[in-house]
Amino acid sequence: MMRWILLLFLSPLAFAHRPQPVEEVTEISAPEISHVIGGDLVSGVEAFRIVLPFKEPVALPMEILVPWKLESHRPVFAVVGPGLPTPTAEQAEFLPFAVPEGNGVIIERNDHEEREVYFEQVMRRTMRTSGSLALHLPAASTYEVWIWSPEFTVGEFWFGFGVEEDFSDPEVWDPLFENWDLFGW
Amino acid sequence: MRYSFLVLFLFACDKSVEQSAACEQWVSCIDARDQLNGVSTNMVRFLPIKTDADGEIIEGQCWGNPEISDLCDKGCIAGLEKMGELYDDLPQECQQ
Repeated sequence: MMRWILLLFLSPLAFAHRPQPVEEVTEISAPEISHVIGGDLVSGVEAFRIVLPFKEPVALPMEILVPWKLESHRPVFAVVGPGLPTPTAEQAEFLPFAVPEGNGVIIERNDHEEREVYFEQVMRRTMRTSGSLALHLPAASTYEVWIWSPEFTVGEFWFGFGVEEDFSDPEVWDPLFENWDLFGW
Repeated sequence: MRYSFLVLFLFACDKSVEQSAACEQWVSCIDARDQLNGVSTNMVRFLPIKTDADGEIIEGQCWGNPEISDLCDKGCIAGLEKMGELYDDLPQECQQ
């Protein structure tokens, strides 16, 4: 019952990504729909892989956010796949995994001195964002996003991508309720 | 008179905004790269807003409300800048 009351409360609000908790490898079955992947860097040495199987070349925005109070927490992300620039030696050293042969990489280092503070209206949390970055993934192929903390800082993060909303599947909300501490307030 | 209030109310409820200049350039830039590479990128979300007969947004999902339009606009600005850093053979449409 509580769940339906909350859904009623949340549904009219403007813009919402599909929530999904991060796993060591997180497969996204419909990457054309906007998602927010939430997780916690507990030890600071974790590295997560988000797998995005695109059926066509796409351009879409991505960003990584952390709780507002974690001022020094700056997890980064790298997009890896075909048609992207070949990593330099410095980039290869920086990355948590080796870039597969024939793939390239774009790295978002989350290193703006001043990060935008963002009030997320659906779950009503205040966050710091790396800033929205539109990326062009130029092949109909599977791309991966790698998320890690190069400074080994710990704390929650949320990786958001895309803008198309689709909540027609009622089970879309399940991860939100099953992981309320990660996404809720 | 009563209907003018209704029209005013409906207008006030429409939170859609116009495609930003940065995203217009972003679309042109990717289009130009696509032509060079012989591919077609799905950029429907960044195009000017278009709705079907039921009012559902079928193109330009970026422009459905101010929050998401801000996300897209900032994304396009940062995306064009990032492209300039990453590639030295960009079409003229991508130059800032």
